[in-house]
Amino acid sequence: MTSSNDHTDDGARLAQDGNDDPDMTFVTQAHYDRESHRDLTTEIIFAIAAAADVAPSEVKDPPLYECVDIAAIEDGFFSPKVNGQTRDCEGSVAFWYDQYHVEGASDGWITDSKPITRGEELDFE
Amino acid sequence: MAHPRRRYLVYTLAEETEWSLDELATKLAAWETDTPDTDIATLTRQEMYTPLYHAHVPKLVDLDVIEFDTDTETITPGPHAVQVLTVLEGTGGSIDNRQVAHARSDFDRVGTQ
Repeated sequence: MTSSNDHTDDGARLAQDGNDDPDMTFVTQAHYDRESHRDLTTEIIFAIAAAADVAPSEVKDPPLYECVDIAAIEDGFFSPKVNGQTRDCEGSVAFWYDQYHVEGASDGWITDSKPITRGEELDFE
Repeated sequence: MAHPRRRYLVYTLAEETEWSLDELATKLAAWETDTPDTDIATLTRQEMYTPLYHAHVPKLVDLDVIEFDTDTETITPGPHAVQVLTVLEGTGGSIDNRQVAHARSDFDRVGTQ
């Protein structure tokens, strides 16, 4: 008889490294375009709303302002052109919003993930 | 106050001293898309409501320019509103003439109920 300690019910393999980091499952992704009328805050909230399958106006608690300094991310990664040159730096920032792990990268991609809980079905409420 | 959307929000406070966030989202969307207030699609209003709720309103509350009632989602002037309006009208006002006029224009508030 094999132990079920290292597999969830649906067969996803848990990390064997013994640390407390939860395994994450990809939920949704969105792309921020600095030329768009939708700013970074909007893209992030819309992505979280898509992940949670709710309308964006229902994503309220907490206001994103309290989670992360969006202005700093916008300035750091997506600052306007200087002398005709676009200042680009590479990297990403990540933070938690509710149960979602949100990662924003300098290429504009916003990725939402959430931890897999043992036995959890991968459908989204 | 470098952000045009925040300036617009402050300009509206010169017209009325109380706004619901939905009304402001509609009005600001109408300004940015150059559309009548009554024609704003739900998605556009949400696209404007979201950054107001999650970024600009908390920032302006932090700066004491506005007060925000989270239960009713209404915005009223804060302790520094008059100061900021005075500065804006002195310096940025000429740049934002059309924005100011739109922010202070008659707004059919019934349409957002």
